[in-house]
Amino acid sequence: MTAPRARAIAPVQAVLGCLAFLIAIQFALLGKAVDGFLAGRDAVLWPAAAVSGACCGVACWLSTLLSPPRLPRVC
Amino acid sequence: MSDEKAVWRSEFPVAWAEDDLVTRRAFTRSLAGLSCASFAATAAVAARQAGAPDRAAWPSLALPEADGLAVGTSRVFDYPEPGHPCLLIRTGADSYAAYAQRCTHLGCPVIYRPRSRDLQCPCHEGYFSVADGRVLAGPPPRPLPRVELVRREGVLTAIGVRP
Repeated sequence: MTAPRARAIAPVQAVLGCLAFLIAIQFALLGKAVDGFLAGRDAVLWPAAAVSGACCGVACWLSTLLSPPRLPRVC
Repeated sequence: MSDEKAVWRSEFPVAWAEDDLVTRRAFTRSLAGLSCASFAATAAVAARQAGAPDRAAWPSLALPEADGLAVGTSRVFDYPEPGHPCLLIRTGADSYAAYAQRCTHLGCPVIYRPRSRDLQCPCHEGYFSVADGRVLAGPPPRPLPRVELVRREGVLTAIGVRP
């Protein structure tokens, strides 16, 4: 991989890493929510959903950072 | 700026014909979708619990079959509504205990063990006291919800659930 390309891909890799981390948190929250639902611990459900929603918002924002640049049409 | 001199070509030299091979951005969008799906699932679990009816007043349920139970035996009944199994245990000649049958760990049904006089969840080896429902051993985080029993006109009656 050439150095310019490595520089160009580095932000993409960073965003991918952040997304993987956020999704891991969300899966853990989903597991806790299901546990709480089955065990009747209602207090954990809405906070888990709120934090998961925040993670989702950050993930969507991160994905928009990588939207392809608008390039001039050449043909 | 002419296309041949565009900065992005030198910094990210991928030809249009190979664009479908560059999947990082598409993969990123898929991860964002997965994140949204995970949030939707968590919110659905919370919403389902919120939709459960609030128990301000518990119904009364007569349990005439209780007198027919032998001491040290148990039977299952539904309270406060069908689909919510509870365990009625005759602990003495005129003493009874009743608990929700759903284990507070992951919801497996508990069983009464007359020899050791405790309640066992066979899924993950959780044990509860038959006297007050407290956790004796294992992973359950909370005591079993206790069904309150009274005698009304000589008939054992369930009048509520105390978590």
